[in-house]
Amino acid sequence: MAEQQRTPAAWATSPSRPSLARRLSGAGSDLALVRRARWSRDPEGRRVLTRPRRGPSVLREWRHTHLTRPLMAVGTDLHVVGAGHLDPERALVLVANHQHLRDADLVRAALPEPLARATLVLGPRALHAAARMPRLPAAVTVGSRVLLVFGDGAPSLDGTVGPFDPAVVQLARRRRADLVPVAVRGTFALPSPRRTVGGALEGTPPRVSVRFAAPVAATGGTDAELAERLRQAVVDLLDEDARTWWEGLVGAPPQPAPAATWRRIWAATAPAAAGGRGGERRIWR
Amino acid sequence: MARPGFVLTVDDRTPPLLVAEGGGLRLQTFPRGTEVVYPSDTSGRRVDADAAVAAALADALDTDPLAGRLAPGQRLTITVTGLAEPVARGMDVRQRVVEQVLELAASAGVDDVVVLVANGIGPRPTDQQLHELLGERVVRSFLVEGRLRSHDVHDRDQLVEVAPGVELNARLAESDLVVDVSVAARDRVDPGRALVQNLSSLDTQRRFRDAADDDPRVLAAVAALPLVCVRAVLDQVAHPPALEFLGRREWEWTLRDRATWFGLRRLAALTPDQTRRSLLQAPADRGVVAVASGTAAAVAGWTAERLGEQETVPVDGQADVLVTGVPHRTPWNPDAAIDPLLAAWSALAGALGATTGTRAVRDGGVVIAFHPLRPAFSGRVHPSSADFFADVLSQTTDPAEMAGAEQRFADDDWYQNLYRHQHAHAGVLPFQLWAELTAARQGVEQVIWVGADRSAAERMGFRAATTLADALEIAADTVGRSPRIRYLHTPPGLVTDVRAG
Repeated sequence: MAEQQRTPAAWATSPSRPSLARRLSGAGSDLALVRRARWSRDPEGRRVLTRPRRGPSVLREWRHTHLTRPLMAVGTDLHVVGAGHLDPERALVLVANHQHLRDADLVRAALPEPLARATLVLGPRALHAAARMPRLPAAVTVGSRVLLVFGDGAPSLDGTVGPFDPAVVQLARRRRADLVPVAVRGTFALPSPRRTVGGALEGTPPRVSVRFAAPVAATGGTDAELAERLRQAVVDLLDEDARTWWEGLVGAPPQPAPAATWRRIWAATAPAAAGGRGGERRIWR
Repeated sequence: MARPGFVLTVDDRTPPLLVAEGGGLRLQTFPRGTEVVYPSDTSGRRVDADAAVAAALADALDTDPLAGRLAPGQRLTITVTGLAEPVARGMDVRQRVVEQVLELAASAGVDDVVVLVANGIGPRPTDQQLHELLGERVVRSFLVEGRLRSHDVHDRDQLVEVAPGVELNARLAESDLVVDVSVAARDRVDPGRALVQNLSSLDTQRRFRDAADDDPRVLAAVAALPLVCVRAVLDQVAHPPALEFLGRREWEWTLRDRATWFGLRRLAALTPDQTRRSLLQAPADRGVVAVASGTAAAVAGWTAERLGEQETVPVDGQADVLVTGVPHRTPWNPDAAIDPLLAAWSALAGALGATTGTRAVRDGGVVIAFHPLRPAFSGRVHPSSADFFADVLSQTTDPAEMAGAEQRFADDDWYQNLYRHQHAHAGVLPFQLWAELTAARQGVEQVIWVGADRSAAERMGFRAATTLADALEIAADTVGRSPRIRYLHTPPGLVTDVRAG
């Protein structure tokens, strides 16, 4: 290639960056355009009658991600996996294991904004009432597309996942909702809610993992069978967090819970580190 | 609800229409008689993504289902191509496909699995990008053991010559089965060819760049691979949910939408590029329309048929003047602004080249595009583009005369280091873009940029005009004072099917 320069035209110069005043003055012409951009009818002469669906609010999502979630998860290092499985348009019953009084807040913090806003937490008594009284579900849950229940009832005393109440399946069938297994790991050893705020800035916040599995339709089998399947799905999610997903698929089945109570509590109070990490790659070398 | 594309003819009562100009949007009044080509709206055709993927894997085109081809002791490689398609909001379909393929592999007893990201000369993805693309499960399971990796066109230790002049990633060559996962893109490149191109050495890619689709070397390289392709077709949603009104037809805008547009314009005037990009380039809520698996040729044919149904808009005859905007996102600018080279590529190779055969503008016609062409380049993502613009284009615009410069850029240690370790594009990217846009603009008499930097336009061999009326005035010397004008209302993208008219 010959080392010769092309000669640009003398008038081909770059404009200087417009001043702030000039950039602001464009508002007038844009307003005029906005007024003229109103269509009285579509190109086929019809009035447009349907109102398009409004998308999610940017402000609400920002507020949930940067304010609400950190506040609700204060004192923990919250990791969320699988929230992409959840369809905000469908009725859902989230069924989680219960390890600590803060689990409800942490699961709601882990949800995407439109779901977190529409979630109602049902305690054991409300769950039984809603499952057994035919007309009560609508009265209790009116306006809430998403219900959060704890399948094993009260917080576990030893960190293991107890049997799941078939009432959660009855409730999902009555509401024609999908069941979503949710595993909460790392909250067993959290301080009580009263001590959380004071101790939030001390030390390294413990890792807490909230994992959502793909929704399961509440059809087929008895309530007890489906409840047991849900419980097993939650146990699998916990194992997935402790090892890796691939190890869970190809490796040995997870170890059964130790027989002695003190050993189960000992295992539950260990730091809930994520499996499979030989050393996280860092941007600074 | 799905709606087909159509052509609107502008009359005296037609209000201003939306035009994308890279990082901004404007409302533009078009002359009476302008044909405005609207793309189809396929957001109502979404299917259950997981079910569609499972059905596709169970029923392959022209070959056995994947489950029947997996066996214990196999070396399985899962490649992820088509990275130019951005990650969707929520769970990306590629993550769904990879997870289901891995579940099948685990059931079949396959242990030796590598997930290979076929990035070609594009940036090697960061860990965060891998999480967004493939999900936490796959990344945590495979990354730390080195079984999730990206391709490096410069790493001679990872390349092996499989045929004269064809060097591929060694893992491909030694695999018993390769499963390629991709999302259909408008360029309709055969999945086998895309895989070979994006997992080959830099020299091989440059050799294949100008090769025809039926080049025997390409066909031989694809035929030699034990390949199953899995491809998804997504709907036409191009904007994040907060800005979804930008993808609607203008007569469906509400007062709130028009106010949001006004706010966006003020934001564009007063805020830095990064703020605008974070809004416009936020992930779009794209849904899955269809998924297929099978041989490369069968999946390529299936893709062409599906995309044709979705994107093709019939138009009558060729126009004298083709008007187009520049979308906020091209395949080459993830999280980066659109520089003059990308804008030119988008308007010429992208919009002008998106046809079923005959172009939407006649030979000897004029292309008018909207973009400021501000000569600002991302040193992080496109490190060689600024040098190409300043040093190479100042000497010549003919791709045939750039071979020496391209070799220098390919061998440059600085660009190689940025590509290999700092997630930048390879140094030869601007040469590839320039070659493609030059080929696309053959036969076009003039290219005029509205609102563009005059110096930047001149350097690239184009013209600049302040307004559309001025651009048409300039074009009048070529196409006369009453040309037939056609405006491509993109994004989302469309493909024109020009019929005799």
